[in-house]
Amino acid sequence: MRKNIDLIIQYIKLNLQTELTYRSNLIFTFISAMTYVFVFVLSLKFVFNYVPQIGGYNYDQLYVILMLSQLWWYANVLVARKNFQYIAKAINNGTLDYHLLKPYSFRILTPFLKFDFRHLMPIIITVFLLFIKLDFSSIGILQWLGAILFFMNGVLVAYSITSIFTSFSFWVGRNNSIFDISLEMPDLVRIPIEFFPFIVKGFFIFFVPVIIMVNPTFQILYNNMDYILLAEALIISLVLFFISEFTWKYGLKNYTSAN
Amino acid sequence: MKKIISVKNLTKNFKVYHKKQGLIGSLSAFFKRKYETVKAVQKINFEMNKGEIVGFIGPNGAGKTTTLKMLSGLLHPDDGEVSVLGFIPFKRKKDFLSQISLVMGQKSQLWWDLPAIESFNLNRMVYNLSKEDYKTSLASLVEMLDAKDIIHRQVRKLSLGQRMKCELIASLIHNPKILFLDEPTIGLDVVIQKKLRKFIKEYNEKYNATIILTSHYIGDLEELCKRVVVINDGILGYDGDFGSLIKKYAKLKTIKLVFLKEVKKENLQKYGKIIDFEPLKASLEVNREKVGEVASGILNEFSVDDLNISEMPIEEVVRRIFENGNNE
Ligand SMILES: Nc1ncnc2c1ncn2[C@@H]1O[C@H](COP(=O)(O)OP(=O)(O)O)[C@@H](O)[C@H]1O
Ligand SMILES: [Mg+2]
Repeated sequence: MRKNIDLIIQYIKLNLQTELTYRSNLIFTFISAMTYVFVFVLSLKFVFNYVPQIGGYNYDQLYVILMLSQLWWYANVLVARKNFQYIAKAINNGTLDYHLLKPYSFRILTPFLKFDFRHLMPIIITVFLLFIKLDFSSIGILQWLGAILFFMNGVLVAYSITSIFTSFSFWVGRNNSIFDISLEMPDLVRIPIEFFPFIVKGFFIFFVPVIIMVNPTFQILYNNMDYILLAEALIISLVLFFISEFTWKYGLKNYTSAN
Repeated sequence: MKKIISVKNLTKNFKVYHKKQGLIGSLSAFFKRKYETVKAVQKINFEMNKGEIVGFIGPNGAGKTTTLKMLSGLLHPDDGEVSVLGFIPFKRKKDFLSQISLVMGQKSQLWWDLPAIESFNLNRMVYNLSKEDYKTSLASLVEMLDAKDIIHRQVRKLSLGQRMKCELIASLIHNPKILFLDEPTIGLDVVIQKKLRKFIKEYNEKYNATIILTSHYIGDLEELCKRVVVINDGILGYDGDFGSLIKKYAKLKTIKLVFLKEVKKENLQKYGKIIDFEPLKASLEVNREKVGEVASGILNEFSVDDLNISEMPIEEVVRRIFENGNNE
């Protein structure tokens, strides 16, 4: 374990060093990431000028779920997207070789392979934007813990799904569509569960599990839990995690290590 | 004594899909794919003792790299048995991986945007080396490879030869018992090739490491390997002494000549078998022991602009070996 932590820190350091050699424009990434949030907040404000609430939700609540979904998205980009894009490429051009030859736990290191610092900044800002709308006096310590747990659970779900699709690269070769499709995810993720018509609800819980990404966290913060949904979220996450381990192991057997 | 590497009936096939040229070809391949099986390695058998250096030679596409990848655990064999240090490579046990290394001439494990020293340091953690062990090992490798100045430069800015030195340091920092080198000198100039070969020899002697290296050029292996294995089309055709291989199948070397003045074919004939002749240019096949003698004779008799001695092409050697095998 100690070794893994040392390695993770080292990977983060090396990625930062790489970033610094290029002096990549932190400001630029930051502006483009934040513009999206501000445009959305502004349009939300505009709508709420005319209506007091939408489907039982007031402005503050929709604002919070928006920030949660943004946070989920940045976390997803940071730990899953960047790294799996890199891995999918490495599977195709054979550069995965050197990772497989090292006596370390590649799966534990995966979230840190291409740790992208430019996404830390929007994360911090988004946490700030989230906190200014939360009513701290009404959220107890258990709620905080639950919220954090289920937020991480939501990120883990996204992580496992990306991993499963990346494993398919072992068979089908280049496989970028998962990364394109997942770009559309935040739009669905930030919709409160009640807004989904009953017939598609099941679909968006079990097949394209966008509802379990941030809705549970949101419910916990507002003390309005749907315990069945929470249970489903944990179970789906666990199942997807095991499937992802399986597809990875099985995929490796088919690795052809292109020259 | 127990063998450090043992391979029985090792086999690997690749499925590749065939596509006709052009857009139409791509379109038809989109709907219906034609697969073809490439028999990359077919029922290979061999064994190695600790401390041995063995050279794998064969033309491009012979199956050398595929064999090394199965030995190091990258590829899952389709059939047969491999045992390396008593492990099954494909299981990639940490104890196994920390005792081997694979260096590929065409792939890099270094971080391109950073100085190589950063990659070494990362490997220090990967292989759990103590600070002292790391320092000693690094110092010794840097000295052997004469690489003091280059390890602090951004890898991207190194020449191929310099990069290869760093690649070797990164791969040897944990002092592996077994080293697989896949065409380590490919694309390098002769001087650096020589240096690296000397290094490999020294490393082998110093640490009693077991080494397999591959090449598609016989000359590469001459100074290094007592024993060579020849493969072609995935089939092992020769396994034995380098000297006897040369005696039996690669007796000849080729001398290519460019003259300043026209020469007569008859005058050249006494030096060897002429395989190519123009008034100002010629190629001769000569027994390898006589090459020096012949070359100096020619230099004395004619006014020579350029003289080039080369090994028989590997394709020719392989052809002879496999022909011979069929006759026996
Ligand atoms: N990843 C791969 N996918 C498909 N075919 C491959 C792959 N790697 C090697 N081959 C094929 O297997 C054969 C042996 O290749 P290789 O072991 O790389 O030869 P060598 O290293 O001797 O040049 C070649 O025909 C090559 O085209
Ligand atoms: Mg090769």
